[in-house]
Amino acid sequence: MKPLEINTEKAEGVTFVTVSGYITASERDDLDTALESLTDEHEKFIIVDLKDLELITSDGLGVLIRAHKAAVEYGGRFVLCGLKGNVLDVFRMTALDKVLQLYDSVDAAVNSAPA
Amino acid sequence: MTDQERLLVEPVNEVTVITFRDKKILDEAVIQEVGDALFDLVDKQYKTKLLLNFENVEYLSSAALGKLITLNKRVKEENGELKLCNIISEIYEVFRITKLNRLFEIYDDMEQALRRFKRRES
Amino acid sequence: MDAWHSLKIPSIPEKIHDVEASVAEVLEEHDFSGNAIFAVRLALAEALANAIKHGNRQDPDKQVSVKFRIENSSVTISVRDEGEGFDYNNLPDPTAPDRLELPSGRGVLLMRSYMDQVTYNDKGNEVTIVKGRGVEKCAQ
Repeated sequence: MKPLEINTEKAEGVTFVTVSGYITASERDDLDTALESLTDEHEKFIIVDLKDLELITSDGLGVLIRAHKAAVEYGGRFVLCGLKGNVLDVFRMTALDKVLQLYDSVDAAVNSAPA
Repeated sequence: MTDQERLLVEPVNEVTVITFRDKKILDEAVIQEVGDALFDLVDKQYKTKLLLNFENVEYLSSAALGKLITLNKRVKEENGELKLCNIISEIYEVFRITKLNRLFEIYDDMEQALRRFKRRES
Repeated sequence: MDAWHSLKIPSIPEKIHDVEASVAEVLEEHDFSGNAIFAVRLALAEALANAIKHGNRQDPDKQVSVKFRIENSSVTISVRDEGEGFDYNNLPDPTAPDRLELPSGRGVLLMRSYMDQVTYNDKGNEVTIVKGRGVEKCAQ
């Protein structure tokens, strides 16, 4: 199995990205490229499902922050969902749960109102 | 204005303008020092909008290009911008042949380059 | 069991995964708890990323040395680069309001949060992290 798997699916008005595995400095570029291709297209609503993410380091957090910032700049939304356990703790520890929008599930993210 | 041995570093608004003092950036020790000084700007002084001014540079080796590529990547990770200016035609030719003119944003002069940096959002 | 294991890797970020995954495997064999293994993987990946990117500045001619040792109740890992070291006492707080949205600067904070001990040598080019085995929660 590859350390990082990224799947992108476009539905009505929403782009779903499922990310599973590990995001360390080894894998950051792959995720960065995938997300940048979406923000370059000015995708309006990007939901990143991280329920199968096993490990994220500061490099991975940096990639998510970059993508979030890019989306906000063109008036889009970039939200995360499915975080749990140890991985969710990493976001809390770095206070990023205050910067990035986190939802429990894909459904909660889809039904969320723009901030 | 900070004076370093190999680089002249001047802030212009939010941009840090870096002028190479060396005519030749060829041998390994020089490349190492120039590289370290550039990375220190990002890693230790948290500068992420950099304009490299090549007006004094007449020779540049491929190892130096390698450093610039790594620097560009590092700056991009920080959501920053790296631009190049005042490159003489002989050196520009090297960028063109290696297709690095597509990777780097290269401008004729400093004013033109400075105008192209993103403004800080208010 | 108390012997030091050591390995060296070139300064290429892609090597990080191999190292942290193989250390994790050894910790699993020694019955470290899931939480402790997560913490070590995270901290080790941060330490390696710092060594490769900031210490050796991705110079492929420079290497990163990793040493680790498992004692009865804990693992000790040290990561050393060939760089000039850094001033680990004067890092800006990544959770400060003006830095919160910057993409980087969280590595050392995470290492300190997840490890029982994080120490540097005087020069600042070698970090040593220590983590206890932890208690595995009983399955319901």
